[in-house]
Amino acid sequence: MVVKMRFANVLMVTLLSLAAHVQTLAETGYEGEVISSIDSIKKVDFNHSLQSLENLVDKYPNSKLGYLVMGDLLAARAGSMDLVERYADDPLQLAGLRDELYFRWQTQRERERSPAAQGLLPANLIASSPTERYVLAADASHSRLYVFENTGTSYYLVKDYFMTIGKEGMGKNKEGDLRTPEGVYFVTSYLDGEGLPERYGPGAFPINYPNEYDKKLRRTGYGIWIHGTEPENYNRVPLASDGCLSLSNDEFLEIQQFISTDGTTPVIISSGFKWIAPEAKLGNSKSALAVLEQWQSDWESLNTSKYLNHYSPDQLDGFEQFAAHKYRVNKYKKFIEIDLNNVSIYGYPGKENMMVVSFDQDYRSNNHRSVTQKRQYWKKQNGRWQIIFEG
Amino acid sequence: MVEPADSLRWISRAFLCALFLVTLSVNADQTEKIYALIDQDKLSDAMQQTKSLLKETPDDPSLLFAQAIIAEKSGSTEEAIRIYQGLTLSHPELLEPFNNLAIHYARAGDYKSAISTLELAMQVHPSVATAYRNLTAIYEQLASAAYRKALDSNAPIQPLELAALDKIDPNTPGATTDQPRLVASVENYLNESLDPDQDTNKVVVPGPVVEPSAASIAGSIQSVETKQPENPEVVAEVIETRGAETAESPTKIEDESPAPEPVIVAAVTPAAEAKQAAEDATAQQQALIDRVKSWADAWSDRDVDRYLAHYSGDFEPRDNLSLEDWKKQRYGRLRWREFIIVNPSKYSVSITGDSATVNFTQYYKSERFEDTIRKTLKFQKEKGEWLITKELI
Repeated sequence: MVVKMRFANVLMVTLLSLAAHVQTLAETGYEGEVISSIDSIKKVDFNHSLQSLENLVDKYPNSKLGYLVMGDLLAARAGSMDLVERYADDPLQLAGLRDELYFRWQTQRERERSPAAQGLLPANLIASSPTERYVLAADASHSRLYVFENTGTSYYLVKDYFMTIGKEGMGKNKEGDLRTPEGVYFVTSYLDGEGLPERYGPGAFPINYPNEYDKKLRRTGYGIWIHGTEPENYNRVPLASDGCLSLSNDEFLEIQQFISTDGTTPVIISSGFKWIAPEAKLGNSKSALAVLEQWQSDWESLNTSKYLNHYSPDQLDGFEQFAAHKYRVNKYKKFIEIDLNNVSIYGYPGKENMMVVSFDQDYRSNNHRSVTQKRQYWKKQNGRWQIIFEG
Repeated sequence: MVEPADSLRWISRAFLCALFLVTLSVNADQTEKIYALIDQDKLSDAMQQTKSLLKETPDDPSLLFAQAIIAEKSGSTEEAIRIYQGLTLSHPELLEPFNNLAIHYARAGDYKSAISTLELAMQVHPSVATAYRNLTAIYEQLASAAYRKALDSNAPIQPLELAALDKIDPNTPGATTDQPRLVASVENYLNESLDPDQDTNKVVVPGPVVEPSAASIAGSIQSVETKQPENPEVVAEVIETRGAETAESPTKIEDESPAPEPVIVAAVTPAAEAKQAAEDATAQQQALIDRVKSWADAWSDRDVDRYLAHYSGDFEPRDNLSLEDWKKQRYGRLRWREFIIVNPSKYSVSITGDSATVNFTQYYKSERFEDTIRKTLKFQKEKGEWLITKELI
């Protein structure tokens, strides 16, 4: 069985990867330059920080952040700390830039001590299919988009980016609510910037909002994308999209290499991750895979009632018909054999006891054979994992 | 903020100041030797030589300064403070003792005294204060340009207001040709500094057409800073340039409305004056009330120059004092107060042509005295500016 074989390798490879896992990302690029200017301010080296800010805005002429810090530095030197009020036509824009600076600074400052640098992983990453080379994990509480590489048994943080979410924050529910959905999504396609309004930048990757769970909750809206930025801005402030994830154009172009448009790039969008050690991740994989394996073997056992115990009668839409159908078809089965390939399991953000399981199902019985892609939403209720959606 | 870790740095800074002071010393060569000894940390030798030289010239500021540095380096902070305090009184024309004294206050956490010491240094050296204010104004200009870009703002940048100096402060070290220069006494200094011609002119330089490059200006400022003091040529050059600008736009423009294009400013100025002349009585009254307020503010800030700038050259002091003596008296009364609060209210204004009378209630409070009186100020309009000619209680 593929599931069991996959698991056999997990322990050894994870232990091997642990030692090499503590990594630091260099302070390079736009953000690194912004932060090193601020560092020089902290060192009270006025001329040097002014020079580095001047270099920054020369290189990135649409860096609102660079100009803001430069203004602050000069205003401080002039002793006019409230000068900025005069130019804050839109106080929200100023507050947004301050937040952006805070998040970027915090990320860079905490870089060494950050959960990611210590090799910790978002608890939502449970298992990825070999076809999913990269997983995107968006942490709204830090305005950060992480790119994890799937190493087969664990994950390796490749890169992380400052990102913008919806003007109204997280928790998309209705069309036009300007919020970003929280959940497990997959990139569905690519839209080239040529055909899009300027504000999307070089292009966009739509994701599958509303997903099966959103639809179940009758959430509305559409067109949640990962996209770039309008030319006037280097990037947008933390809360500034209509619900999409927006990156600077430089970073959008860079992140393209990590994104596939055939449904194999998961995008986990969370209000804030719980970070866990790889050993804990290992435990989670093990128990989640055990749940799946039990479902699989109960199905193969032809014990229909045991198999149906894996489904939630009150939450699975049309449970009655589904159960009746299963009893009917199983009467004619002499054997059922199932192989699960390309299994991926992600904890659902904001839902402690929910996971999204995707796999390719190779089904063989005495009278039927099929290969299907399946997605299940499992929910733990009263200490028992049950399927609330399957499709 | 000065932290203990910075002490080495500021001591070495103080040392640089001291090297400059050496040239003021009567025994320049020997004094230089003392500073060399201090530099080599031979403190007791330095102390001994300082003491013996001080016997000959007990007032020599660079020797006293050396004594303070030795005291600092040997940990006698209190003695250093005492010497610096003495120097600020006996040689107010020297900035260094003020500066180092302020550092001591700041290190002890007494920021209030540190600030007032530095503010006092600025008052005693109005040209330094003016240069500092100009520097500040330029930084503010650059900050405004940066903020406009950061925030996509359409708010106009305030016109750059720079004050030109039209006279060399006779007490600026190096301003006189006598070498070594004899130090002026406090009395002399105060008399000199109260010369009404000493007042600075406000010059409005129209907002820059091309937004200035922060780094280029910072760079040039830095280079000026490094070769700063005792260079009369540089000062003279600055005055010439400023003089030219003054000639082009002699009128002070106080405009809250959007900054006009520079070229238009020059052309429009006479019209603006005409318009001002045609202003109705209400506006004039308000202008006088504002004048009283700014006079009270300057008084409250104990900014003697700004305070005296409200007075006409024709001002008649009470008690038959001469204008010069009165100014001297005011200087002392404002400068040596811990704090002053002056609050005018309940105005009545009457205007006849170019003269006006403002009657108001004046609340006054300082650490020594508090009262509320009814006061009358008589004003005269000179070159478009209301100036006080008489003060009545």
